[in-house]
Amino acid sequence: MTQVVLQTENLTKKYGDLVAVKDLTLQVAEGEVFGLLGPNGAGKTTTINMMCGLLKPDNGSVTIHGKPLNGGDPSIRSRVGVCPQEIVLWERLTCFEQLQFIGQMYDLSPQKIKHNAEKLLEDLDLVEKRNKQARTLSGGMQRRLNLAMALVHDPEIVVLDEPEAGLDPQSRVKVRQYIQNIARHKTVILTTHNMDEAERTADRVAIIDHGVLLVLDTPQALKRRLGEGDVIEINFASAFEEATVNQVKAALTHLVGKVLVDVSQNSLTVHALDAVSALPAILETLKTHSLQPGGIHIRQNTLEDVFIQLTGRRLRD
Amino acid sequence: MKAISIAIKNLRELWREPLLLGLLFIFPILLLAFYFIAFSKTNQSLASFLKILILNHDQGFPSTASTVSPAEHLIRLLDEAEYEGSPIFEVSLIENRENAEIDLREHKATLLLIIPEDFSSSIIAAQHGADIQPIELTLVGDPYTDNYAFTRSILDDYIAAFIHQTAGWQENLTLSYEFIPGTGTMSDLDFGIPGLIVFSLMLITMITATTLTREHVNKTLQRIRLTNASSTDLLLGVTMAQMVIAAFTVPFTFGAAWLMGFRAYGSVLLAIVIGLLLSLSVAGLGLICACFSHSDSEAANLSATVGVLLALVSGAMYPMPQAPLFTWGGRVIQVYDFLPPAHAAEAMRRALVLGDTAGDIIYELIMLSILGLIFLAIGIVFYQHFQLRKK
Repeated sequence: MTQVVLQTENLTKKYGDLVAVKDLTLQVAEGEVFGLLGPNGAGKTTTINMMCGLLKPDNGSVTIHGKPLNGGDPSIRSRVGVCPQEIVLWERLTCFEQLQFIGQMYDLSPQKIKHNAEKLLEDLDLVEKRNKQARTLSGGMQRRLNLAMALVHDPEIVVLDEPEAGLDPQSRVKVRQYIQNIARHKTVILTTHNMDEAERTADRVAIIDHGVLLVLDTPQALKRRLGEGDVIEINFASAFEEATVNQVKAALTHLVGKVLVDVSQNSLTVHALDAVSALPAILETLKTHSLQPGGIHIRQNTLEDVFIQLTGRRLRD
Repeated sequence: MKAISIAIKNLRELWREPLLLGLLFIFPILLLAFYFIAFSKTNQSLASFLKILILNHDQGFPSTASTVSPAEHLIRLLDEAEYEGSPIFEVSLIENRENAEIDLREHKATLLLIIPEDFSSSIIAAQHGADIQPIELTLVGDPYTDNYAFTRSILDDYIAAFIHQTAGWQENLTLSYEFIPGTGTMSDLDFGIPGLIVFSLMLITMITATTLTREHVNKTLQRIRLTNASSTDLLLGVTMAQMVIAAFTVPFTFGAAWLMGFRAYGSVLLAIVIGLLLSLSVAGLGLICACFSHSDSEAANLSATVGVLLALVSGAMYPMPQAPLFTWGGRVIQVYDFLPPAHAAEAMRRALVLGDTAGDIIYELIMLSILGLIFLAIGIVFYQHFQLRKK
């Protein structure tokens, strides 16, 4: 790993009896896109709020380049730019005024503010809205301005909390491209519950649930843990009995070798290296057990499958 | 520097919020208009407001019953004086001075004319060529009532003309001017306008509270906290914005009152200084209200209630009953002494209506400053604790 820019050590946060984040230790390397993945309520936002100094950890620490985030050095804090999940804008300030104000709060010179703000407005396709108040912008534009606010002081680390949430397809593409663009020269930490987004964007992914770090690795490595290959999802018209489930599981395991069989109420998920080749035999096995598939879907392994394996439930649950 | 940027941002947002801005500036003007409609007089003949009382001590003079004494002659002259067919004065004869002073204090009359015992005899003597001492007529009134100066000047002219005509005197008549006890008591209008300015300043509590609550609810406060701005920058910025609004509110409300006919004897600049000192307390109150509000409307309701209530209770709008607590340094300390608007209203009245200087109202200015700093400090401590402390 290259130089560590941000490190959390035993980071813990409790709200009453609820442990939002528990002993979270991770390192973010310079220049990487680090994905913090987990379902809603997993503790992602709490984690990044502690990473940027908004929340005080009950235990543990956050360091940036080895220096404590809350050590009183404002230059440490200004190395981080945060784009919150919600749109956080001053309704009655124009796009430029918002960026200008934040620049002033970071002690940037007027020239620097103007340069950075104009560039961001251009990059995020907001030039025409430069002098429009935020309340008059569309949701997608507000999201893009929200992102620009995190970048106006040219931070070294950019923390993006669910950056694609609530975006229309057009804005989603723009934002995704922009994140990929800034990832070339900045360290990006993004939280998401969207596995596709994480898989497509992140160099490494930390999956957390109930405030606990489950795994941390590259998306490819995480998927390898399941067995590389395909996923066959077979749906049935009605739920099947437990005895049948066990028989089918045993038969399929025998048939395709190293396989994960997930039988829920009325669906069957088979993870296999070469599922396509195995498909006729799988169907024959089902037929033997008098099971008639309603629909068959074959896809590649995703991080969601990793999450299901780790937690026994889907991200959306 | 960051505090200035925060202040500018807040003012910019307020400027673009016509509803809040309108409430801040239009509401006091509406109240002002109400005051003028309620307490000023318009489209009435002079007599309807040049009301004079006459206390006639004149002992008359030895004569036949049919002869009218000079005192009676003067009274009749004043009573029958006309301008363009309408009476100038409304004359009432009264029996004792105490009752007259009550009427003057209650603005039921503008002036009391006291005719001395030897008035008629002196004039008759003068008519017969006697060399007599000047006689003295007394005019009693409250110089801070609306029509005092006007009534006095007209009355002066009538009396001087009558004396010259009847006794041939040019200079032997002395007019003595007295003010009713507690000189400086004000008309409802005089009392009201400075209080109304204080009231409009108290409304700024609402701006502070709603602005800060909105920052909190919309999470823009978090955005500021993510930057290099300290809580001192934030709170200083908020306070500065309030002071700028206060600096505009005073001359604005005063200007509106001036257009409606209110005339100040004192310095508007001093009134602005009073407004600025009061804005410290107002900012403190706004911070406290913001701590306990969870939405814009909650903040507006809470702060408006607190602001208006304080303005009323402190006697800014209407005189409040005496509520002495203890005596300190020869001064009776009342409940109101702990309320900044009470000092602001008193200082504002004395500065604008009585023309007092900063030196004259130094006690009020010091108390306003001390209470302002205390309120602001409490507001800052509360806000730091409830909103800015990392949780």
